Amino acid sequence: MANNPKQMAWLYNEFNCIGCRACEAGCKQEFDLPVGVRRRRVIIKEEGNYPNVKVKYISSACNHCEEPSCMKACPAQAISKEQEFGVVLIDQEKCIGCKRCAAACPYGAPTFNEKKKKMDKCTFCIHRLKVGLEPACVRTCMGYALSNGRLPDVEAGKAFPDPVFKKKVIDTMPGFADPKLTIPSVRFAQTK
Amino acid sequence: MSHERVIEKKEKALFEEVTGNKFTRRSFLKWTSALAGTAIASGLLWDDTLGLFREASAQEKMAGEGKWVYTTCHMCGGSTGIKVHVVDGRVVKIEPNEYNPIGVANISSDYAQYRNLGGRMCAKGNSGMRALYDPDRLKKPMKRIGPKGSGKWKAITWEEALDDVAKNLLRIREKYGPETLFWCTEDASFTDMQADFNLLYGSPNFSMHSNTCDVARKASFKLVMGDDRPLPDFSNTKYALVFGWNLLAATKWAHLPGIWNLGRAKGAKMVYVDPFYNQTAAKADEWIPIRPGTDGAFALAIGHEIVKNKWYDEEFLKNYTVGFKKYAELVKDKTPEWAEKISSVPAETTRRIAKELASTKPATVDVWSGPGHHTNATDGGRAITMLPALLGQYDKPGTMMSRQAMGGKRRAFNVDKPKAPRVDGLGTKYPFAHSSGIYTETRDAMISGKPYQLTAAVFMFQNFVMSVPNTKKNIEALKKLDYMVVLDTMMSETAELADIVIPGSHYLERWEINANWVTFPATAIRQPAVKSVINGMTEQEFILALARKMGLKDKDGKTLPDTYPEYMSDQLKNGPIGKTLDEMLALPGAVFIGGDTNYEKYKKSGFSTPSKKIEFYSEQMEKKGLNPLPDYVEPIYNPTPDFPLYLINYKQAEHTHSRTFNNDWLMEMKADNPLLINSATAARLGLKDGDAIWIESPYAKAKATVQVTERIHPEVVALQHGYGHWGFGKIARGALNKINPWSPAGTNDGQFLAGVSEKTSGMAVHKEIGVRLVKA
Repeated sequence: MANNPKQMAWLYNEFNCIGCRACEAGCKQEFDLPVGVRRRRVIIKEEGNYPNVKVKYISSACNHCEEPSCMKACPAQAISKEQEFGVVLIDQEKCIGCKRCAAACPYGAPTFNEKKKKMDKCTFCIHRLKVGLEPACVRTCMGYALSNGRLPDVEAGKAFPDPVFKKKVIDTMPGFADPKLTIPSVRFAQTK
Repeated sequence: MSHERVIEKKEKALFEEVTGNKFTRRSFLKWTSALAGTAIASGLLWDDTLGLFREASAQEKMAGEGKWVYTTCHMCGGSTGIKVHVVDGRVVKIEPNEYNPIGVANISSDYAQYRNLGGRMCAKGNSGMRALYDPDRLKKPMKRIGPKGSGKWKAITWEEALDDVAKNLLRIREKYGPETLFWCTEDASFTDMQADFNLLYGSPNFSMHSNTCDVARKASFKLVMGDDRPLPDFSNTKYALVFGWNLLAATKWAHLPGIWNLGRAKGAKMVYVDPFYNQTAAKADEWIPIRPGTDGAFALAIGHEIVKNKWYDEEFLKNYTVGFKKYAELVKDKTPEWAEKISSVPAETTRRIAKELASTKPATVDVWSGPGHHTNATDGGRAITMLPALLGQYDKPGTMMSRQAMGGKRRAFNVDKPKAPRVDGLGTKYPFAHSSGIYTETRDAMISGKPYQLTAAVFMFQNFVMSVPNTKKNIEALKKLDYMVVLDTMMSETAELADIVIPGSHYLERWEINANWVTFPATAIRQPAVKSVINGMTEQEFILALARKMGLKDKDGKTLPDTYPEYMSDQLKNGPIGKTLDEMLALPGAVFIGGDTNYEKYKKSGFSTPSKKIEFYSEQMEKKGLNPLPDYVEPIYNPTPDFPLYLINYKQAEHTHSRTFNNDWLMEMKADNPLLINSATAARLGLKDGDAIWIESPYAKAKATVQVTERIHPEVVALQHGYGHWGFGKIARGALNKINPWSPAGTNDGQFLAGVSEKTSGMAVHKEIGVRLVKA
């Protein structure tokens, strides 16, 4: 249960993710990100042996944790958690580009922007949330795998793009870091 | 917002070296404007008035400003609906257009139900801006001043370019005859007007893309059930059996993943057949690995089981098909054990799949370019497309659907038919070829001079060298031409061999009609979101100006119209839609929807075959001396003891053909294309991940990098198509690849191929060759 009922959270439905990287590119164009800065990434995991092989995709970005380890690691107090959506943000003025947040994050979410010499990460598209739009990655997701909502709604199964995709909502999936570490604002659709 | 492009160190160094001045932005600009009009190397000279200098601006900062323009994507030929956010004449964001069914669903009831989800777009569509503002874009027409392939060019004015092309095409017609011009274009772009240009010029040799894409699929379906591009209703199916179509990656239409997932969410079973476990295999309930080119044998064995067990739909067979008895005779000895020897699919699997398919309705059976890029493609494809026919699974909810297209009506010209036949054997040597021509035959005719010598070529957004099998022959052929024009947005391996290169437009800069690939009538308008970033003419404007300059007209003095929008409006108004262009643009999302998906259309009007029925036995094939039944034929270019592994190619969602490889956002995702090899095979050959190797076929030898995987048949290795550029932009040439210096741009798969076409449909054979691997 969220400390902040307004906490915005991701809902990731691996069953629907086709590993197409539309989410990655949708994010790139929303923020016009240079090569090297990748706020969202699709990770591909190959399991088993031929012919009984299975590939799993994980689309991963900043999980806007309730206890962000990046925030604790930042020596410049550049990282904060805002209240309206619970989004974790890096203040670009204060950031000194030391990369400690990247080292502290279990999800590898902050990346270094070589051009600006600052750390860079997902903002949950807070500028879009504020005007009632879904984040750019969610907007373009081809398989209806990624969605978002207030955490209580996500947990109640109300955040699926359409009821037809509804599944049981769980806290983690194989390959994902232990949620106890930072209490990430992401939930998963149970596949089987 | 920043209006400044970052100028690379290399460019600054070049500037300082050439001018002897210290680099400042002002001195650089002064220099570039002074040099405008003289020799340039693409990507090194800049004219700030063109706006290319400016960095893109993030939508994040521009939300609420500017306007949204509704149009269609052209990062691939799928023409997915998009809307474009434009601020101060600059594109800041591209998003899906929910008024266009492409990107939502291909069945009208699904479209109505899921439109509120807002449409979808792939990684390529999301990276469209990077192509629009690609610094490597051609900015001025270029005339070659050194030998072919020397890379020596002179920038000329648009007027000079028009003069040059007009003068030379008239010279060619006068001296060698109009038929000696080969005109080759991409097929989702104003092919109508280009076809008319060729009519008026008098050349029969007009070809367009599809021949290197899916014409074997077209021929298979057309011969069996009369529609050359039926579409699958995955959303409402209960069972899908898909052969060699990586529909979740070679997406083409952005709704494909959505309708696949809708079907799965509603409980359908999806079975995927392919030598390679790709995205579609990953999102299927079952993957059936198979030897390349043997899908037909597997399908015949499924047919054998259905017939033997009388699982077929007797009523449907009686009323709507011909030749079933002969088909039953053919599959009598095509047992699952027989097919196992050929395809490596276990007989037990075949029996189980046959039973599942026959007992689960509605069922969708589809086939695309996996089996389709082989020398036995049309027959293999027919064996597959007959499976749903046995079960009555056509044109019903959840099956393969015939389309109801609604486009425009072209203006008629009063011209004589060209006296010379086509050089490529369309309709003669290749009796069931598609109107897109036969590329390998045209290429071979350039080399042999038979049946007659082609002397000139125009390539419109077609990288012929990289797209046609057997790269070496392609280059040899193009070097034989007297005059060659390339219209494209960037230099390419093909453009390198041209006499003149005309800068092309980006899809956000031009007009088009897109009759949509859904099962109900829908037509969208592609309209410019911004004016030409390079301050140039669109290809359409160039060709119309060319036609005027050359004085092209028909026997009644009728010419091409003055502008392309006028031409479009004409077509739309006179066609079944009956609206002018302005009326079309006023529709929501600039999309016209003319009705709902209709089912079982064959009950009223029959199937569009000669017999009006589904044809298990094809008399029209028999008349042309082909086997009227879909018997299995061994692929011609199978592995040999010297070249023991099958090499196939495949596509990924991030790329289209060979043309998106200079897009930095897309290349950042995967900078090269390692050769995929099964772990057991790699162990046997002593290869491990990251090794440099030579791939050798009877036709070429080139370096690649090894990627060991469990996701491929042990007898098969695979390269992703489209990599291996040497004449394209700097990113395509490997600028983002920091890993393997031996093949920084990746490895071009086309060079290893024999360079032939399939005998019935003329399909270019892209996936059939044996190779050996040697440690480099």
